[in-house]
Amino acid sequence: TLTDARNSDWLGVTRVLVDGGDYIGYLRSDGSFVVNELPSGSYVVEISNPNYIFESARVDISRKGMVRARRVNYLQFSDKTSMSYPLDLKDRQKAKYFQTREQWRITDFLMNPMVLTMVLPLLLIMVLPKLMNAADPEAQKEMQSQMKAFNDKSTVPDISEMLASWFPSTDTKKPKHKAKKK
Amino acid sequence: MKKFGRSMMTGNILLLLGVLQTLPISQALYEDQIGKFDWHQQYVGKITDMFWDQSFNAGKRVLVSSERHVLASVHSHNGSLAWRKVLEDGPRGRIDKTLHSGNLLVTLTGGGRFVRKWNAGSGLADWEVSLPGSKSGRADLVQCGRDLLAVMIQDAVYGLDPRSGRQKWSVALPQSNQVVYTHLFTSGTNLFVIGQSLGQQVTRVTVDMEGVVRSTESVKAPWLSESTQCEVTNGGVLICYRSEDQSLQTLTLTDGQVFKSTSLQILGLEPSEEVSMETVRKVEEPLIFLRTAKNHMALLELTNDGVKLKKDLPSICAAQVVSLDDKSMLFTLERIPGELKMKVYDLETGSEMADLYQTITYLPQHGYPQRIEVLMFKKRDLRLGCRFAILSEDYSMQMVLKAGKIAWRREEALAYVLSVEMIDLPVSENQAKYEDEFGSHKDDIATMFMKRFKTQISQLKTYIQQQLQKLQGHRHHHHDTEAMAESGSDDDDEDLTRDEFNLNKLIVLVTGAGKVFGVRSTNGHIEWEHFFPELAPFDGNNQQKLLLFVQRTTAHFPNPPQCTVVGKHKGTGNGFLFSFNPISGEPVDTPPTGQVLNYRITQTSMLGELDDHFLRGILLMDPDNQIHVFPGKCLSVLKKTFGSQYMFVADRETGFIKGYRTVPNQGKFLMENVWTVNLQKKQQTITQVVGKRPLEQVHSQGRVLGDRSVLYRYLNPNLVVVVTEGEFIEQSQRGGVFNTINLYLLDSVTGHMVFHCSHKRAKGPITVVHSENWVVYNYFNQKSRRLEMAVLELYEGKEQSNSTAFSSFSSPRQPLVLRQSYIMPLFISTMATTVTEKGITSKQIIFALKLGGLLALPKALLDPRRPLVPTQETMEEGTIPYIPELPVNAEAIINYNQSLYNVQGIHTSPAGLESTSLVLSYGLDLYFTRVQPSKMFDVLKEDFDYFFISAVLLGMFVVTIATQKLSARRALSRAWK
Repeated sequence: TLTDARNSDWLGVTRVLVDGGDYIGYLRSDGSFVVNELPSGSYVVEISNPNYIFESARVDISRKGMVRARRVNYLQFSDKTSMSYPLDLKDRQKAKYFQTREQWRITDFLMNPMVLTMVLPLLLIMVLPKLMNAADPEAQKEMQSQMKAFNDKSTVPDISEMLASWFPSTDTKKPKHKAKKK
Repeated sequence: MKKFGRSMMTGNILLLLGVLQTLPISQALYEDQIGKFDWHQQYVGKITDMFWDQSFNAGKRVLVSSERHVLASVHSHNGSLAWRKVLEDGPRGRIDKTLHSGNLLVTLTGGGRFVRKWNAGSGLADWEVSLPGSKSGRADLVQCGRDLLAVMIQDAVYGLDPRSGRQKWSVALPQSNQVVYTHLFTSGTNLFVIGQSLGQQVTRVTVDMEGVVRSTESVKAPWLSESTQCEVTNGGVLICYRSEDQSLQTLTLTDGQVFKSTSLQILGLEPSEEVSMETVRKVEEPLIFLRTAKNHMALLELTNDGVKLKKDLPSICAAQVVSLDDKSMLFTLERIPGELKMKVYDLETGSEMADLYQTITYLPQHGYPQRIEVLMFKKRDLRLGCRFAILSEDYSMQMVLKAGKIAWRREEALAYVLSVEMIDLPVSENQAKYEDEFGSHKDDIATMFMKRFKTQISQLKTYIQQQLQKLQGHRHHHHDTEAMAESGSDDDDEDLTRDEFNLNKLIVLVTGAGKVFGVRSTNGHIEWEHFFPELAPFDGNNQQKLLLFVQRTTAHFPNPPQCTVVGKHKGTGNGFLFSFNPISGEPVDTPPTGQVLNYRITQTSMLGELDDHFLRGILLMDPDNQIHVFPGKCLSVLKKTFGSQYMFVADRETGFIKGYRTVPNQGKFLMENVWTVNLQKKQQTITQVVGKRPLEQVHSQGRVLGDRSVLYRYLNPNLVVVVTEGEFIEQSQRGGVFNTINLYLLDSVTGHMVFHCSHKRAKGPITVVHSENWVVYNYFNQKSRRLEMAVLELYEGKEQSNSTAFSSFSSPRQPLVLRQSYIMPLFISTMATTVTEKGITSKQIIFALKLGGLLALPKALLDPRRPLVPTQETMEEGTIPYIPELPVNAEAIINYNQSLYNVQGIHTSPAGLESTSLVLSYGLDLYFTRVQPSKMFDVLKEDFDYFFISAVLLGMFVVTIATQKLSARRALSRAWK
């Protein structure tokens, strides 16, 4: 015989299964249950509820009618972590049956390491020269001359333009970055 | 059964966590997908007792108890369940008696072992009393007044307080080892216990309300036999029917000393084989119904002088006596084609009450109504009104609320599903025309071109029509729903055509009630149904079987698909066949009432080849080892291919498995025994024989290992798993009897024993899943007291013996068998594996948990190659390190919170999409859903963000053009410098 007391609104859909339903305990309105006439042996008491997961217990009934309850451990049967008897079984958690849908959030996008590694250097390239320009007009001139020299040297045909003329609707990422770097 | 060290295990767990994160362990649903492609139907089983709820809100609910150990409350307005209590499956849960009056709802279960009082409103238990139980299994329960419940079990009577369940008194019954006590009856201030001693006497024990035995008398009844039926009527008369001489014996309980005999002939009734009695409880007079046929009843009145015929009710199939305000009325139901006629008579005058007469439309596929439960009430204008529920032969329950119309029905036969097939729906007319083009080769090019042109024009037309309908859709739909609400019918008018991905099917369900259903997979609505009162399942060893064969699928247009149900005839035990078109439900080749064969069926099989019209014949073997082909036109196929037709029969009674081959003999075909395996019936019994799914698709022939070599699978389609269970006596000093399980892998053509293993100290029930090159089975380990899941995988080795086709006669060497076992932390009732169209998708195993869930775990978790110590090589192969316990998480439960009770089987079927497998679980409930074991890899997810993707693309495009323009301008300005 087992007894248990617990507060719950889910009494109607909750079942107490002993050894997977070989014996069933029926809940009363105060949440307690009794399972009568069990032969001696070792039983697993589980609570079946559609929305919550409950802890289960192993109950041993000896030939003399002694009853003890302990935690269920399938790996090591001899585990003797005892539980209070009469059983007081509590819900462990709400059963999470559903995945949450992935939502697109701007912070997720920005915090993505890939984005970070791409955006930071871009910032450095774009912003640092501007900062230096503002600082010193001479340096600016020097830079400009350097840039000129650099640009003159690069007589290599502009890939972005080439691509754009070949496939007017291509949208690969490469041309974009090339274009921005100038 | 593995042993493992503690330290090793923790290491493994850590490693596993890493692996698990990368592995798609489960694909869970999203919350907004609830009910999108799944449906759930709850049943209670064949109803044995039915009461109008008198307590909570009277007349709003019906309390029922069923043969399947269910106690439930049904809303009377729509037939849905208010609550349902499923009792234990075994003898412990059998409901002996249900009693309902006023606020009291009490059940007696388990052969008199448990008395429970339930709250009729909520279904919660109020109290439970356990009693010693009845040895004979007969127990009875009556209520005596307001504060006494009397329970009779074989050797005692107990008096209980109905409020608390406290035992007030108990009385031992005399001579309880000789007399079988069968009835308990209360009359006035006394309780009467009736006991029977076959061929001798009837014992009557009188007990008063305080639990004192007043008298014990015996009345001579030498005619009492096994087949004698006895009932006690109100007013305290015992009435027994003797089938030997068709007579009724009556005895007044209060003072009667001898039985009075009345023959049926004297009453003017036609005696028949199936006479039964139905008690009348709602009035005080001693009345009883006598049923002589499915549609002939008689109302008898019992007097001190014997039996009097009160009213003969020819062609009446169900009747009830109801009283309201001291007026007793007799309700009768008569079945005429397409309708039921209900007539009501005043019992005192015998005249018909015309204002309650009504006819009800009634479909012939429900068989005869068997019981009617009427609720009478007074309308506001003081006229009489009635509501009634009808229980029919096909286990259905129908409710009439307004005169002449069935408000709803519950098809309880669906709680007895034995075989399932999912049939493809036919393609639409247009598509069929298109296919037709490839069918005929006679046409010349011009006509073919014209044909093609026409079909494409018509396709375009339907497409445009569809688009137009879609545009106008909202308005139209609105009208439809309004019309629907008015008529109360469901929208089954959409025609049955295949959808784009062939996801929707027609599910054919064959039930143990003898009813065959065609059910739409989209919503679970019944498309057609057939009822065969004479169809019974084959049963052996408590396993019922009705076979369903798909003889022709939908793929062979214009030939219609065809299915056949094979069972046995209830009366004679001979074979019973019914062939039908699974889409329309129309019978083909067999008469609409089914075809009864003139021989018994010992084994059935299907022909290996199709005939000219793509029909696959069924082979039926009779006890003389002769082979019959159904339909007869497929005999020519057998003539051609008899050399490759083999069969085997596993006999549970003898423990022999016999293999047969087909030999022609004087124009007939006989089966000749070629091999025999003796599984020693003395030690064990065969409990399971599991073959593979015929025509199973296996995509990959082998498995690539970490070192880039291939381990070829042993794919023997003739392999059968035979499970036997037995007991053995332990020789050690402790002794004791333990269960043992043996598993045999047999080649069913040659009888070759491919593999055998044995589990000691293990017991069933065992479920076997056999697919591809693996077998998964579960058993209960008695030593460690846990459920274990074992897996066997068979491999040919590093070389393949024959890469084109497998033959049992030139089979490869003994296959390599890998095996492992795991702990299943939850109790399961059955399991199945998913199947997909081409077998490319990885498999999942679906477990029906006793807790109510359907748990889907990837087969990769049940892989005997999971290493104890992971190495570089095993990591490369992708095996998960071994941990003994199978992981269970709520996301893997595919039926979320829709708990399923007493699942008996899971049927899986491929859909048109390779990623998707359709799952139907049956038992007390039906639940249908889809699973995607490797996620949805062939279709875009439904939450795919089209808008976002196109916005990004467009943005990129605009940026490219803009920057190109800018850079060109800049280059130009630079050139000017």
